[in-house]
Amino acid sequence: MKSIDRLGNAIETDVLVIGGGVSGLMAAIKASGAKGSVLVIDKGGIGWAGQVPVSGGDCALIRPDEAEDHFAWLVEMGDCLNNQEWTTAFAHDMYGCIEEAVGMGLPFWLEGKKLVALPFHKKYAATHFSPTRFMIRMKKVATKKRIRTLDKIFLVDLLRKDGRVTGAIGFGLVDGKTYIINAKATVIASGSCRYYAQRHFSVNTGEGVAMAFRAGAQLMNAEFSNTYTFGFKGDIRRRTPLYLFFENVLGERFLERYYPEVTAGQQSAQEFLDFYRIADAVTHEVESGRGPIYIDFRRLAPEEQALALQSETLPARFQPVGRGNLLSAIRERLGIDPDKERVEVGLQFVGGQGPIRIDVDCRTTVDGLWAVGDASSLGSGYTGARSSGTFGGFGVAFGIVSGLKGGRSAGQHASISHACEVEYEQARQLAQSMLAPLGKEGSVNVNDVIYQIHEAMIPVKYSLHREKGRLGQALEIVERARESLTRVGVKDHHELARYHQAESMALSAELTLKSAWMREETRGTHRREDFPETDNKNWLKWIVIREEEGKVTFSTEPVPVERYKIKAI
Amino acid sequence: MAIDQLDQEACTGCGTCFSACPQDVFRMDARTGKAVITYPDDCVACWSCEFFCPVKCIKVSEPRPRKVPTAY
Repeated sequence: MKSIDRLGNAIETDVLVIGGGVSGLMAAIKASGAKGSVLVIDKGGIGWAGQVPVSGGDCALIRPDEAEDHFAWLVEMGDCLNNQEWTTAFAHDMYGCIEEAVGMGLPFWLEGKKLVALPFHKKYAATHFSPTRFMIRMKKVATKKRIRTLDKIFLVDLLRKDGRVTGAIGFGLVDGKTYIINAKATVIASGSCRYYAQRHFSVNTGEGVAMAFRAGAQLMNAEFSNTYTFGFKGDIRRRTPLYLFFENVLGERFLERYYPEVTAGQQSAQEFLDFYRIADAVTHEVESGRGPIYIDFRRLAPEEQALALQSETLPARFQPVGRGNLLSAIRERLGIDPDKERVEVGLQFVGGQGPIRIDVDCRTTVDGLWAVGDASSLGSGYTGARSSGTFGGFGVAFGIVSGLKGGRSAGQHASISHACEVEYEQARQLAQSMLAPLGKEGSVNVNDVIYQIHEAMIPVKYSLHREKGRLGQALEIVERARESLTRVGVKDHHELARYHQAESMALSAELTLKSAWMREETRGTHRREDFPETDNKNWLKWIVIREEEGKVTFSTEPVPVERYKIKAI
Repeated sequence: MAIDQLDQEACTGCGTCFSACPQDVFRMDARTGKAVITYPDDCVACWSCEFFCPVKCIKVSEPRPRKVPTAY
């Protein structure tokens, strides 16, 4: 390692975890059980990193006796495109994994020693945790286990030797130093790509996905990544069934026209809670000239008010940060008085591109590399043809389950593997290309490039209702964004990170659009207007993306239903 | 302007905003030990710094400095 020192700070560890959110720290804690050294690196501050501190504090909870039913429902929702090995593992192992997290002293809602679970969706309950204290507590658990953590370091690429990942390279956002980490096992836990679109969860910019892809890891299910939710301007979020009371510009409650089963009471609001279907109805209404969409609190009957405001009945310590009273938040943050006027609501693009392909131990297709949490939620295939983002409370649950599985596997691997040195010449070249934009004078602001990527991802015409010609237009926008990126000026390491984030976002957008172009059918949350039917004959297949020797290939692979419990819906 | 105020008098230099900001907007001033809004253009108005600041010395307003296209 001596010569590597000349390139920057060289650090050796048995296990490197990239990303210090819930899945990353869970993986680190589990990996530390194998007795080797564990290092967690985040571009933010661990304790606040990842999505949990700004999450809703909901965690899906499937009890062991409900697991088989839940598994069958997930396969139905995923239109049979699930990796059923992972779907089974998620449904059956979730309860034990969450109990293990409770055993670490994480701030879940307990009565005595038992987890409290409230009805959340007709098909599953959710337990609750304190979003603000959760990661701080996890960091304490990690520190006690002598896990090292480094904040404000932005990792850009993976190091490789003989087809095996041997660590990662990046730079300090504050100190500007180059960091070269040599590891026996590397775990990517740096989330999906959400393109800075929503205000919360804007931390997810896809760099983990991009580095895995460049290192040769297979990606899959990229076409199912883009989801929408609904909410008020300013991302004042609620998980209550407010959508029941949405009205169009004419003051009509329109949901019953699309889903009469809900308003007729044949399906409960919880059972219906599917962001995808709601987004679809809202879009149709707006496209038919009946937008914008509002909610009028003055028109709500007392029992409707109670339903609309029900999340405020959670104990204060489990309320998400800044939630408080909904009506006060609308007054204070939006300057709108809901007693005097109706309040506009709209669709919010969620994104969620996490396609790193993993097996049930969270191994990627590259030796020495694991992926956990959002970075691999689509790539695990546990939700099939839809993003986990279409159901509330799944993200944290998957982070815990995959973090524990991936951490155990990576820790064991590191304990029986020999160190594999970093190749000086490779590290030098990667450092050079990583730092190349630094100091460059430019004519374009990187935020304008990100806006261009938004233009290709956020509109429903590209991500919710797709069609070949429009997907082509969106790809052209991404190409223009890439071209703009070459003219971006980079003054310091903060701007350098934004440059690399824009590059990762462009890659995520391109892979999603190309997969969506290729899948000539409608399935799950992928809707093609030019191919409106689900085509089980030709498309019970995964689209797998890989890069080999600089060439990107998109291929299909039949879902191995013959091996699975559920053969077809 | 999303993040428009950081009260230097009230700031204790605890670094919570520096750690919690998902967009790396803050730096800690080496001389005063207090937080500084260094990259205000990159703020997405997520309110994390305002919510998490233990002495409530930060104010965020609703508009994002840079617009985001609407869904439809």
